[in-house]
Amino acid sequence: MNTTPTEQRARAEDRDGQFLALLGQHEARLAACVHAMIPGWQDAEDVLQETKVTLWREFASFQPGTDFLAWAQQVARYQARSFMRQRQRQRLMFSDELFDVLLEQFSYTPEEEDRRRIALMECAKRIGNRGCELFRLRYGERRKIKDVAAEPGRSVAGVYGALSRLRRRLAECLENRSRAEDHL
Amino acid sequence: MKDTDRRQPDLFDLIHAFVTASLEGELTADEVKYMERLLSHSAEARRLYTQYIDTTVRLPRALALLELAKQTSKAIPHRRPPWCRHRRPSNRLFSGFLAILVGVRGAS
Repeated sequence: MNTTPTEQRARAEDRDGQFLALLGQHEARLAACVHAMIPGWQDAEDVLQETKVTLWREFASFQPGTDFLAWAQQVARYQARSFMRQRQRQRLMFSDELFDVLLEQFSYTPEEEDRRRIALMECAKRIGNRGCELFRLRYGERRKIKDVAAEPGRSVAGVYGALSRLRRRLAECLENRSRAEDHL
Repeated sequence: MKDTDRRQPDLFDLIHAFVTASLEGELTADEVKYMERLLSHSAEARRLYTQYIDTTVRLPRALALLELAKQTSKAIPHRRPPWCRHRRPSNRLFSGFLAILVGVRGAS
């Protein structure tokens, strides 16, 4: 039986909703996987964008109830290879063998995903206002170190050192929380 | 020079320098090859590297949420819930207790 335009629209909206929900749930980890595979930050951002477009285009072939992240990672891997080949930048990419090994580090449960998000929020609170501001400029606005250092009272070496100390403090905080939770 | 500047760079320093070069758009093929070797041979390096990348990706979202939380708490005037409105007397109780103590001492 033929479906009416209204039914088709409802189905398409339902599909949009499913896609957005799944992407929203896995986006951070997918982004981290792509950045781990392609060390050049801007290359990885471009691949990530192309991957999301492909995922959306191919979503009809995704089997509901199967592992969305695993599917997205395979699409990302293909996109990464073809993107870097087109731009002749394969030398700025890790091997498939290393990528498979790195991927294992990202295979954690949704509960672990929540735990990581909360831990990062809690640890970011401890960095202080100046630290948060530095992080915001560097990682939120993606400013280059020399641009961050252009503000009065800052130097390139000073900003690099401050970021290094802050990142180390953040990593230690996350490690301590993870260790404390493992002992619970 | 500070002690921290003099010490040998550790795994964290290497990863921090690598991701910094990546964010700056200054990564070279030699650096990628070096990191590939390091990550292929060390489980600890892989763990630290993926954690560093994961944090870098999530950090802007965490900071945006913190900022949102700050703005929300500013926008909503801080009001005590009804059951907290009469908590102040505890201070009065304390000053009363002090007055008794001083009185006792004064009397002695």
